[in-house]
Amino acid sequence: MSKAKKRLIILFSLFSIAFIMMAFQHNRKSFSFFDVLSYPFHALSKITSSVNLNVKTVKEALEENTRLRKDLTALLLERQRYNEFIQENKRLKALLSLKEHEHRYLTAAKVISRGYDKVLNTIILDKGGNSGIEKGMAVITTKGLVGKVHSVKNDFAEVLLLRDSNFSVAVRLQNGRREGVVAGTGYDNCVLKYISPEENVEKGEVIVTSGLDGIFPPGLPVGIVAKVKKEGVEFFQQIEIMPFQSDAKLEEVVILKQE
Amino acid sequence: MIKIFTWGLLAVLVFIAQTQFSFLHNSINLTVVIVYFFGLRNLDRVAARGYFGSRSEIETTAFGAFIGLTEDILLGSLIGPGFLSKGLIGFFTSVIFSDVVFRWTPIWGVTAITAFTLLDGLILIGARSMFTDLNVNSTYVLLNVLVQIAVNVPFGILLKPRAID
Repeated sequence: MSKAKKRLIILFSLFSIAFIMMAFQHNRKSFSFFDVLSYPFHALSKITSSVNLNVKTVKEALEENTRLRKDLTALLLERQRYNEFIQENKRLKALLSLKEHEHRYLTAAKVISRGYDKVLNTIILDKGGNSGIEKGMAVITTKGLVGKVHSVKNDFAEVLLLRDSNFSVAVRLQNGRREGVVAGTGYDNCVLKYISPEENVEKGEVIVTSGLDGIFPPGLPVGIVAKVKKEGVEFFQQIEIMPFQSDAKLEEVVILKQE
Repeated sequence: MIKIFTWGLLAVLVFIAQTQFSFLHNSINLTVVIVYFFGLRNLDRVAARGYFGSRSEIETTAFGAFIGLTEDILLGSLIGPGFLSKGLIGFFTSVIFSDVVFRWTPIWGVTAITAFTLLDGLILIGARSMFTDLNVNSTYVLLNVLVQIAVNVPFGILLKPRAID
C-alpha cells in the first residue's frame, strides 16, 4: 500500500470517528459515561476557584483592615486632641472667671513639671520674674489654694505645695469661724493646728484662709476636715484636712499679688 | 513504558495548567503544543529506530486523537472536535516535518504552531456550529484563538526536534 493511501486511510478514520461521535451527540444522546469522568476535573476547578476566591477575599480584607486601623488611629488621636482642647477650654474659662472676681490677680501660668528638689514638694511654672511673679505670692486654682511661690527665675517659678511639711497658712473654719493654722505633712493630707479640744469641729467642715498671715487673701478655700481626734490629746485636737486642690491634677494656676 | 508515563504526566499537567491559567482573560490552548511537541520528538524516535512509512504518522495521530478525546471528555463539552483537531495536528506535524519541510527551523516552528492553533479553533467553531444547538460567537472565538496563538508562538521557537538540539 502506498504512503498516500495510508495517509488517506488515517485521515478518513480520524474524520469518520470524529463525525460519528459528534453526530451521535447531536441526536441528543450524550456519552453519560464520559460525563462521569469529567466530574473530578470540574471538582478540581471548583476547589481551585474557591481557593482563589478565598485568597482574594482574605487579601482584600487584610488591606481593608490595615487601612481602617490607620484611619481609626488617626481618628482616635484627633478625638483625643479635641478632648484636650475642650478640657483646656473649660479650665481657661474658669481661670478667666477667677481673674474677673479676684482683684489681686497677677497672671496665670502653666505647670510644666514637678519640682526638681527631691526633699520639697514643689511644681515648676512656665512664668517667672519677667511676668511679675515674686517669692511668697499665693498660688491658687478655681478649686482652692495650691501653695506659694518658693523661688523665682526670670522665666520660671517654683511653687511650694500645700502638702509640703514646710508649708503653713493661717485659716479659719468656715462655719465655726475658729482660727488655726494648716500645715503640710509631706503626704496627701494636711493638719489643722492649734484648735483646742473644747472647740466642736465636725468632719466635712470647710476650711478657708483667714488672711491673718499677710500672704494669702482671706476666704480662699483650702480643704475640708477629714478626720478629728479629741481623745488622748493634751493641748490641741488632731485634725486632718483633705485639700480641695490635688496637686496631681494641676495644669494651670493663678498667681495672686501680695497686698 | 517510561516514555508513555512521561507523556501521560505531561499531558495531565498541561490539562491542569490549561484550566487554571488564563492570558488576557482568555483561555490558553496548551494541548496543541503538547501534541505538536510529541509529533516532533516521535519523528526522531521512529527515524532512529529505522521505521519509515506511516508509523510515525499513525502514532502521532493516535496520540493527538487521544489527547483531544481526553480533553473533550474532561471538559464535559461536545466530544469529537478535540479528537479530530488534535488528531489532525499530530498527523500534520508528522507529515510536514518528514515530507514537506524536511528540516525544522524556528520560522517553520512558529508557522506550524500558528496554523495548528488556528486549525484547532476553526474545527471547534465548525463542530460546535454543526453539532450543537448553542450559538457560537465566531468573532469571540477567533479573538480567543488569536490570544492562544500569541501564547503558543514562543513554544514554536523553543520546541524543536531532538536532532536540532
